[in-house]
Amino acid sequence: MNPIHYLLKVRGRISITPKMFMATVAMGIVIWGIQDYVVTNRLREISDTKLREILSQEMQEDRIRFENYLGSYHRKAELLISDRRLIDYVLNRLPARPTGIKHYSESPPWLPEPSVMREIIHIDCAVLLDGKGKVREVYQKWQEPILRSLVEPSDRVIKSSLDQSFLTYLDGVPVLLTSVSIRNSEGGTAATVVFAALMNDDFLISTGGLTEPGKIIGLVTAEKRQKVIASNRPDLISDGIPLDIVEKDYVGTGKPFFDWGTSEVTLQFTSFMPKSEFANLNRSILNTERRQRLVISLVFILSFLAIMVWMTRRIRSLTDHVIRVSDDTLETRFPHLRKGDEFNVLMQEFQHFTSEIVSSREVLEKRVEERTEKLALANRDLQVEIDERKKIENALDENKRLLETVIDKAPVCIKLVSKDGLLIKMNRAGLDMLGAESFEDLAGKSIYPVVSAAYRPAFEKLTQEVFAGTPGTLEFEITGLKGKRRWLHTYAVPLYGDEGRIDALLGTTLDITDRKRAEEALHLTKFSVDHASIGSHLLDRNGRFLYVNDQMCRSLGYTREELLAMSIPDVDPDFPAEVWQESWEELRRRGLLNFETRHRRKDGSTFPVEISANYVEFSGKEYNWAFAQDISKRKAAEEELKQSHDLTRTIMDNMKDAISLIDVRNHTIAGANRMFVEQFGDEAEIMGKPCYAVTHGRDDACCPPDDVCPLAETVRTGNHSSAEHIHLGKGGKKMYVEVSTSPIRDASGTVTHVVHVARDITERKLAEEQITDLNRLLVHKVDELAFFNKELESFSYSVSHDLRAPLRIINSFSQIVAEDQATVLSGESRKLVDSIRNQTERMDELIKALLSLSQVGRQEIHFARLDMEMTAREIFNDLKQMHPERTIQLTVRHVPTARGDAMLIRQVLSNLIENAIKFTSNREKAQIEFEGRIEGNEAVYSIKDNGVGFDMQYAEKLFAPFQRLTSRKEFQGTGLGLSIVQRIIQRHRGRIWAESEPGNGATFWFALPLSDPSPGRGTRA
Amino acid sequence: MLRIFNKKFLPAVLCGVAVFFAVAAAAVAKVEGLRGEVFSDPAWKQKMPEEWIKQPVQHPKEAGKADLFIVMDQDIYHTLLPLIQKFGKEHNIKIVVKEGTCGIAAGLLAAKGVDMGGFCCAPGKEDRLPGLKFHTMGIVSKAFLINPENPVDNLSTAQLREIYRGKIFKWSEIKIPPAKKGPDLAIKTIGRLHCPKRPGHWRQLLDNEKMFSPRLNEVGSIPDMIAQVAASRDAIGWEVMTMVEKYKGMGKVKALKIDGYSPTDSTALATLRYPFYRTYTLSTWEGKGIENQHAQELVEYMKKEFDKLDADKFGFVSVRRLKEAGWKFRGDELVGEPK
Repeated sequence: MNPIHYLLKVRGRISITPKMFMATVAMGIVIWGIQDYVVTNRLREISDTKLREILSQEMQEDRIRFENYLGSYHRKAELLISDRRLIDYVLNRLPARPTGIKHYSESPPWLPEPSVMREIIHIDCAVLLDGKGKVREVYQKWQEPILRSLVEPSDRVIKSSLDQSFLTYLDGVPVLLTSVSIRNSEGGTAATVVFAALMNDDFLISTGGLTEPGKIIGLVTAEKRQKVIASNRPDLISDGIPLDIVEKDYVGTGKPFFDWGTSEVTLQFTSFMPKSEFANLNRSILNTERRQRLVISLVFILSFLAIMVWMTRRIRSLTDHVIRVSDDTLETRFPHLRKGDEFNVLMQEFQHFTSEIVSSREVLEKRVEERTEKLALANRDLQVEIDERKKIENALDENKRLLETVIDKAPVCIKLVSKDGLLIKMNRAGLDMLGAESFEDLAGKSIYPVVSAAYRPAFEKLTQEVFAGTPGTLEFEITGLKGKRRWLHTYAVPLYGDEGRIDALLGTTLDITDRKRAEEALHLTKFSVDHASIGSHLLDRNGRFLYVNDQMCRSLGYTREELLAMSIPDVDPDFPAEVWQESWEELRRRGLLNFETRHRRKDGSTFPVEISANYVEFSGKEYNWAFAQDISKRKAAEEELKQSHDLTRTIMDNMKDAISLIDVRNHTIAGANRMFVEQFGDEAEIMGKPCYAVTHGRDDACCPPDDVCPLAETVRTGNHSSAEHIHLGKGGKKMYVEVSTSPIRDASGTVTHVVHVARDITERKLAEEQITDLNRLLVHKVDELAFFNKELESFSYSVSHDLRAPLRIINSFSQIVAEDQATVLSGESRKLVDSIRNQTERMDELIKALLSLSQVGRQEIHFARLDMEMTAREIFNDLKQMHPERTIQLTVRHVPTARGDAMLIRQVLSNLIENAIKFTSNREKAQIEFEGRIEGNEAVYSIKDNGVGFDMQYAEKLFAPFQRLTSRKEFQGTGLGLSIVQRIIQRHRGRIWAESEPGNGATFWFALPLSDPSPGRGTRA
Repeated sequence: MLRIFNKKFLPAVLCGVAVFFAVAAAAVAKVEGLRGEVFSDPAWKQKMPEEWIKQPVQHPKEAGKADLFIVMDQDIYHTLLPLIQKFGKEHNIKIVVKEGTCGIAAGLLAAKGVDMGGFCCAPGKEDRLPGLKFHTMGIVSKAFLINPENPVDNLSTAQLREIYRGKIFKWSEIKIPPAKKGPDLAIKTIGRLHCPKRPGHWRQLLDNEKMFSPRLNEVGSIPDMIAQVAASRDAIGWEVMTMVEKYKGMGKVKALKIDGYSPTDSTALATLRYPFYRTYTLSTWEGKGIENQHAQELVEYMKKEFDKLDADKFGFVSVRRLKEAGWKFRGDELVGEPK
């Protein structure tokens, strides 16, 4: 057997599960291999990058430490030269003159021991220069030839390395240098020490403590082919080896220069990491990843196998079902495969199954064809019979539909009613008449309740007659189901059954409601016209009366028969026959004419009528149906109204107020009197214009509350309103007006118009403004006056006060002169001195009085209730004691209490009583009377004496300062007492006056308000 | 008032004035003593052997066949490299630019291995080699940096010096207007004391490393400086704004105003109201056998281009603006501040 055929055969015998298992494994291996290749490379890249980042970070840290070490190199050197041993050697032991350069291979005497040096600083060489810069001693740790540039350092090298770390090339070798000077006692340079460290392996090893153990660091040149010149692991990376060779085994990263500015070398500080470490790390990561992938693959394979086992079982189940159907249903007899590839088995069974179905279908088709032929013959006969029946049925159906349509669509009600009045059937029109939505609302119910009670017996009777075989008709009223009342006319006939018996009443009913209503309306119309209060008549085209109503007869005084024999020219003197024809033509053209004319009664008298003539065509004939209204009363009223209107107009036009009638809907002026027209221009321009445009020159209506508008207020409240306005008259003339508005209402009470009366108050307003201005000026003047008064009082007070001091001195000195020089002075001189003293005392009194007057004006008033009687008695008693030689009597009568300042009123009483005592000094017995009473809002007091009195023609001078009505020689005094009294009374808002006759004594009156004056101006002078 | 000028009081008044000026001078001297040299003597020349003077400029192998080989400090390299590349493209010449430090530039110039050197500092005495000519490109403000979380945003020059000297110990000793204090943290001073022999740079703050507080944290590189300031809320350090921008990946830092002026305010820097800066300097050889024509052209080109840089982004002030502000020049080299 061909091996391929054999393999194919064997393949067919193997179950699908192992085959899919093997295919899955094979596919998995291939995918795994590809994935392994891709993932391994990617992981390697990622880990390489990450490791380089870590290496870079570590390098950064290494570099910072290394640079810090280099930077601090000179500080360590500075620490070293502070060693006393070095200073002592330089200052004391170093030969003054150079004797050649002294070399040390061991630690020189000017440096600490190597063990100490190791801890402080790494140096390969130290050069000691004297103060002149000559190299004197050299210490070199190594055996190699000394660097010439170091033993003969240039000025630039010394200066560049002085007090700082300086990385430079000396003879092509990178060297870290630092120089430190030692000062002598004069401050000069005694010596300079140059420390040098070669940048080689030893240097990096010596800085080993700076890096973590195991770290590899190196210094790489910046040449085109970079070389490693030093490393801390020379056993691994030796000097001079090119970087590209090193990078075969190591990964290196670094920065091409040191970042502090005293390095002249471009060495790259580099951190290295062996690639083997990279490889180990990568391998570890990859192995972990592979193990995870393997586990995932196994899980997938097992999952797939489980699915395959389940699918195989389903396929086998389907195969068994096919076999069962083949054997049991189709009854096939062919051998079945039960083993091997489940798909093959299913396919083979399915092929057998389908071939059996195909053969069965062919047999069935043949049988169906035979049966179909037989059925076709039977069908043909049956079809002929069916067609005949169908024609008959169609005809019947058509008739039935026609009948139903006729009944259903008929505008009349068609109904069947049983003998006892039950409704059997009813068409749509009937249902509508009864107000039913559908027949179900009425089916099986009695029709009688629908019929109005008045017609129900007639309806029942008609029903009985019909069932007795007699058709009949009836007009009756019903109330439908929805309460609507209708008039119906029915024609009822008996409906006979198959046996000749009357089965039902067939009723055909018409809705005659409209007709009934029209008849009723006609009757009502005729009645109304006959009995109308307005005359009505019907005329033909010749003006003959065809109809007249009762009113017409009454108003003309003719009977109806008389009028029907007459024509219009007989009763209307304004319409003779020749005019009637023209009038008829106009009526025909216009259809309606309203006019006034006169009618003549039978007794020959005429009266005015208003005719409303209507042109009417009826049944091809022309008529004039006219109404005649007696307007005698209206005419009389109109005449009366006209007279009234003329009177009103005359009154309005003669009024000084500008009156207008304003339509509130649009604020337009509907009427205006003469004054209004005169104020605002031509009547034609004013009428129909908005009031705000005419009176205020505005474009828009006044808008309360921003604008004051009495019109709006009246419209809003429905009441009278008033306000003051400014109107702009002709030529923009400004007028102050007092506006009052009153509503005019229509029949429903709505305000339709407003009467607007504007009274010109311009003159009054101008006067008021003038008064306001004057008031303002007055207030200003009062303030000004108060200010000046205050200033004046202040001045008076100051002057008076300051004047008293020199007066006292003059008086005192005069007294001294009078007393000390009494024996020396002549009599004339003594008189003069006494006169000086008298005059100064007099002047002092005057000044005191002035001071008092000034204080009265400035003093604040404190109101209180005052016992005037008690005060007067106290004062009188005090004054009386000063004149013990005199007989003085005080009589006090009905003195009411007063409101005022206690101190000031006491001053008033004191001055007046003192005056009374003074001016009665030439009387043997002085009598003083103090009385009082209440008058209105005032308490009025009087102090009367029986003294010398005064002439009333000088009364005006009485209260003026320094004015005297008697000689000073006769009566002592300052002339200010009464001025002070008047000032005090005025400050209390009171009054003071006096009455007297020469030789008959004097009476001084003063009145004080009972209530306190308002605070402010009144409380201060 | 005039009485104080009579014969009796005049000597006393003069003595008082003299004392006042003496105290003021002492105060100024004290400040001057803290601030290091800004420029070295341009007349000074480094002594070099005769054979060195005769030695021509020879490029090392790494320069290849370059028409112009330049080595520059990393600061100036970052700023000027794009301009140099533009010049090379426009003039169709091969320019090799090597990045390094001022020291490396000085070393290669001392070895006569390079046509031009670039320094972020004004040249020191040791840099003034025979035949070497210095050209100032401009100055750039040196910013003092703190952590962004620190609320302090302004320090006076005196406060800054006191902080680095260790006299001001805590941030809370700094007042922040209105009436606030800095955080109650000890100040972590960070410094990068590069190029101690060259004038200017950090020596404008304190003249030498011995003046700094022992608590100073020294860092070796620019990124270390920025990383440490960004990492510590209590830190303060310094760097130019171009480097802050370059190493912004190391963390966020905040530039302080000094005496009320921002380091990016080039006008304040030009008028020295902002007092800390670095001097960008190029050097060329002058003399027979060592001159390079391209180098001379490049210097002129760079001076113009530097003037076009965004001055207020990083705080650059070009030579033109320095001259307008009264700075002193000797030839192309900036040698003195305005009075």
